[in-house]
Amino acid sequence: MQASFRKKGLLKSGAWVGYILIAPCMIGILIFNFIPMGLSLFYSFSTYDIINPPRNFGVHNYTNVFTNVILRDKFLKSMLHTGEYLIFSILIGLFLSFLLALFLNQKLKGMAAYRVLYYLPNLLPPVCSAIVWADITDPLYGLGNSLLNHMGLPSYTFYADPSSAMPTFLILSLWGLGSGLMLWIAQFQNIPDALYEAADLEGANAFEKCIKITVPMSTPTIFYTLINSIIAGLQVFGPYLVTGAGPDDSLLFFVTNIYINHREFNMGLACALSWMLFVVIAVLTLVLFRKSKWVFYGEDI
Amino acid sequence: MDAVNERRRKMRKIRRTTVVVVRHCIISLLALFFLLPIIVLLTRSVMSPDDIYRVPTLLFPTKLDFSGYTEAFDAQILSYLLNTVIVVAVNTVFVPLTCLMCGYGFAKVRFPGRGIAFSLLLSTIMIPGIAMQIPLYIVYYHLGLTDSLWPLMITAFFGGGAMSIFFMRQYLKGIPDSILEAARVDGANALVIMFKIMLPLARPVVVLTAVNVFIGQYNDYGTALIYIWNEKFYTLSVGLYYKYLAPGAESIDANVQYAAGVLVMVPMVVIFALFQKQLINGIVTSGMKL
Repeated sequence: MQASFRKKGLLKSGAWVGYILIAPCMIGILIFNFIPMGLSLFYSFSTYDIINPPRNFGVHNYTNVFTNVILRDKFLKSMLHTGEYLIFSILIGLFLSFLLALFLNQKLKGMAAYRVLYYLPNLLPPVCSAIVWADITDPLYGLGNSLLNHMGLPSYTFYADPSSAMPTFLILSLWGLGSGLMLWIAQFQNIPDALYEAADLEGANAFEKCIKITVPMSTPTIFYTLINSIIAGLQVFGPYLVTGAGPDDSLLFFVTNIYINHREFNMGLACALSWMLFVVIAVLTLVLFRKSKWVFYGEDI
Repeated sequence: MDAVNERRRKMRKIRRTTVVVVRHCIISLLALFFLLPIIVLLTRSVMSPDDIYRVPTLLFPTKLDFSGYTEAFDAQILSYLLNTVIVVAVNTVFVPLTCLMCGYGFAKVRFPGRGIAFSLLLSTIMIPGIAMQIPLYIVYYHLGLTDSLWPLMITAFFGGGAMSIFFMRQYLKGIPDSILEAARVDGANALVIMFKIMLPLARPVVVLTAVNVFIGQYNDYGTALIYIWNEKFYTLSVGLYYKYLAPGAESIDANVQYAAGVLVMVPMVVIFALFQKQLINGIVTSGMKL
């Protein structure tokens, strides 16, 4: 390929058309990805409030989050909360969605319509769900406590108390389960029936079929869910529209912390935190892709 | 003997129907759980201010009251809506076009460095959004763009990001080269090939890209929170947030907030009703092809 280009010259070979076609996206990633990343690295080694030029160059943004008491407190809190959410979302994505999809993967009248219903909450614009959940979780007048009391359960503080804010957020994130469900069910339907028929002939029970056929044949979805949960989970912004960073910073996530520093014009610190997040995500993604030999994409690929 | 068999058959039939009924019940209860926020949004948007603050909280209104809607639909929400329409329209038109262009280049034109360029593009998937948005905010601020809608639209002219170009390329690779070869022999240039041949053949994926961009832009609040600080340029998401939910927002009756929520939801319902099949296929294939 290279040789033929050299013989004919770039102009005659028509290769220049290719360069023009991909120009927008290459210029795009340069302007909107690589230059900002470079700038961000530069600003992260300075104190910068946008209005005055960057000053006070050094590594203080990276060290202060460990030495300055207030910054360290926020940094550690945000890491802890992001980790909690990450673990929860991986468990939900891999186990709860899987089990629910197994249950829903049956031939029953109207099943397709039900699956659409389960997916619907994902379509609610975030500001709509924020309006709904802010009202439902109101500790005094909300529907949530009214329903709990009806069932004979005591009232709950939801987002109003630091101790209950995180559990509330995690439980409410269950309403987004529908998109994962769709993936699992599609994956299950791609598994050839012949495999299960063969297992039936050998007298395998339902559990054995699940462990020995369904799970190994679903590795692409497991891999995708894992990668997606990690990348999206590390960037969780939490219910910012409902409660900001939560009472007593109980819902301060890593990205929320970056955003709040941006809002307070601590641009240097915001950039340093962004770079930490980038390095973690890049390393995790690369490791996962390196170790992805267990993913089975079918015979033909 | 026959009577015994008959009874057994009947018993089996009854057992089977009970299983089906129980399954239907569980599945319906689950559906009710998932639909709860939407049901609450709809029913409480048509409550009177009296009903909505009643304790214990009502799920259904005692009488229909649409005053929430008339109150929600004020000059401010119109201005937010106008901004949203501009942002969504520009993105929905230009992202699929530039995406098709880049996808075509990567899938069907051979040139030195194509592989490296494509890997560079894919590497950007790992960069967290916020890591780019904050330095970009600084750039836009110095260019004076933070006092406009441009930060929400400018990226539309550059392909719409690695994921959409990746899926476009995957799809275009499936189009046989012979079709393009025939067009080239007939003297068609790249532009003609793109619009007259690629665009019609790639229609499904172009439509899917457009629908995804529409939904993403319409729902976006993260980038708007970062870039838009001037009230004149608030989109629906951030506008309603600052108006109803943000700390320091004036207290507005809940039925009005719910009514605004329903109004914001309507375009999404329409889009979903129109493109349900493509959307669900899109979610599914994105999970299979990574």
